[in-house]
Amino acid sequence: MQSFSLELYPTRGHIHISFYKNVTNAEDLRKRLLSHDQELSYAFIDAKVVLDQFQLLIAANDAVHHELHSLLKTYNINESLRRFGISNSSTSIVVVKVGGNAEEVKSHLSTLIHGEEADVGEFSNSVDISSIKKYYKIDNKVTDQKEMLDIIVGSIAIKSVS
Amino acid sequence: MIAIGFEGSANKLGIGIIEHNTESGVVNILANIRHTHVTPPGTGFLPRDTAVHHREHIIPVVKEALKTSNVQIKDIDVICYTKGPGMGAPLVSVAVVARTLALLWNKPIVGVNHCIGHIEMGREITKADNPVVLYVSGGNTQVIAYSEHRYRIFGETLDIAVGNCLDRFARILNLSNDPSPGYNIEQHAKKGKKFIELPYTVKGMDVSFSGILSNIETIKNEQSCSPEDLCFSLQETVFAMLVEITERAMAHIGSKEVLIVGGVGCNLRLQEMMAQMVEQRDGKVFATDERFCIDNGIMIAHAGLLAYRTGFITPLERSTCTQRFRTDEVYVAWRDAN
Amino acid sequence: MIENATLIKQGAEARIHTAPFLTRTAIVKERFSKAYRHPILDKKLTTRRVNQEARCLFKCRKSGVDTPALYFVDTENSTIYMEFVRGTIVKDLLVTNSVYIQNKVKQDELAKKIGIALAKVHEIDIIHGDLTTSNLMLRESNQSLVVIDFGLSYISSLPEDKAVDLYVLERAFLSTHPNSEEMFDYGDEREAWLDESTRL
Repeated sequence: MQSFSLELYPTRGHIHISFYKNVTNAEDLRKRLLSHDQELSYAFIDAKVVLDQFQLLIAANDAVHHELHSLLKTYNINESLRRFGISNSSTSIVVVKVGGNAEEVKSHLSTLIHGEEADVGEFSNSVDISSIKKYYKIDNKVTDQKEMLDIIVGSIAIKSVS
Repeated sequence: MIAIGFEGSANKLGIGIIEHNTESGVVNILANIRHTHVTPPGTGFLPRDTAVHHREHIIPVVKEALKTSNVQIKDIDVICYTKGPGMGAPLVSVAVVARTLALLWNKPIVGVNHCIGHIEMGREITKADNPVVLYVSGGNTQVIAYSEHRYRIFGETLDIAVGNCLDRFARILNLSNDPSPGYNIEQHAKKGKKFIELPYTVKGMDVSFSGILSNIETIKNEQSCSPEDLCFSLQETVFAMLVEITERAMAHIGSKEVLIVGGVGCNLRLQEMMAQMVEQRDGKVFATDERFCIDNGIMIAHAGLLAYRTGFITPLERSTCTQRFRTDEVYVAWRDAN
Repeated sequence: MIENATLIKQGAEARIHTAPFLTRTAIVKERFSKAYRHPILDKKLTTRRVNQEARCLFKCRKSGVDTPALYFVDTENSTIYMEFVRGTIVKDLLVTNSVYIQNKVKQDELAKKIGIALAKVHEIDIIHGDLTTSNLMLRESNQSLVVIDFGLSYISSLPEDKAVDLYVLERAFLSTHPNSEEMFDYGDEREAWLDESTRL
């Protein structure tokens, strides 16, 4: 697990990011999420759609900004969950948590997730470029990873404008 | 040296007599007489009627100017008249008189660019040395700065002049044209409270006002807002546009002074907004009152005399008028290169 | 303001800072309110311009123009966070870099890069609005031409608006870089690019 500063909202705590592979209880986790299990106050994300940790940081920063300014977003939650959330068959999972004590988050997650915690840098191995291109509407000509990431974070940022 | 100036490019007929003490550099205004062609509410001034007005009044106005100034005809060194820009018929009606007097009195004649007249008079009255000039009137909207013997235009209107926008706005609301539509808009605006959004169009250092006029008819009919609120909103909107492009020009060339000239320049709200902007930049704003802001003969005499002193004379056969005459066409021989 | 920000430029309409932001360095562009403007007008204009700038910036990046990546838009505080691009401003390059001052091949190469980048910008109907050599950069990592400062940008398909954009650039070149007329010598390159773009 790795923890990052949230420079704009320091009082909100840190952003913690964990990566698990060879996960066996995705179906169970998903069920608990859908039934609003309060114990699972984390974002469980399918590692296939995460290109870079920066993408997660930008999204988390944006979410905190909207939470603190009580701005309602009219996103299609179902669609977001389907695209970015874990599915029953997910084996590589990225978990994001805003706030809380790093050690507590880490140990709690290890009891929740049946799998192997891996280095955060490793999740780029499980990325599925075609899904990313589809969800972020990236032109097929784009092959450079930096350019792709630029477009991904820009798409997240521009949502608060349009 | 003494010059007499003839101005009649729009609905103001103005005759001014000025004296430059070439040794001390002191400038004396000896006479500044004006007669305005005022039309009924809801109407504007037309070239033909304006020319008739100028023709009717020019002889008494010249006589009054000579009397006020206590100047003998033999003391006058040069006759200056507005060559352009402006409305064709009124320009010509005044130029004819200037030319006739030049022949009658046997004096040299100098054709003056109206905009240069405003700028030079503003600099003389306020003593602003090298300001960014906002020139705002019924026919012109320009942001100007001097370099290399020219007044260069940095920004301007892409369609109608701001004064034209105000005049036509006043006409839509049926406000009086006496003493001027702009003055009456200013008085109404003081009583306005509600801000109504109007089109705000700034492109770089250029502005556009035509959208406001097409918008105002709809707003007037659709919303319940008083003429006072409309005048208030109009002023807040168009003046903010003008201040914004002026600030951009100041930032661009690194100047800290602004001089406002032209008929719209005597609006106190515009002067106040400009002062607020300039204060943030640690600079200074210069403006003149209605005697010099509004078209007058003295500014034509002043600019003409500045040119005459450098040896400039308009040959009689070339003492014509032109409706279009850009500020940057004039070679400013009387100033240093920078 | 974000913690540990450093002011790098105070403009007429905005303050530019750099600051650490989510493991990277960001440019933080904060538009401020104008005392002379009516508060309602001021708020509307500022919000509109922040949004317009963010939209134009992102639209360009998405269409393959190299621009700073858009990181975050804080509409509530009229602030845009974007990538801090490491590189050289074209203006400085042409004024201080002796290779670019003397070498015509290098100049042509640069002119071509600028032309291609601006063609892409105009192709998607973005008018930059303030094209000067101060708003163009060369990226340190790959020498790619980066277009910056979309503060006056807007969307328009009118050829006249695009022409004015180029005219502004030409004026900026001629006033800040004497003897740069040659860079505006429209040769075969333009046609080559047009052919390519119509084939896409």
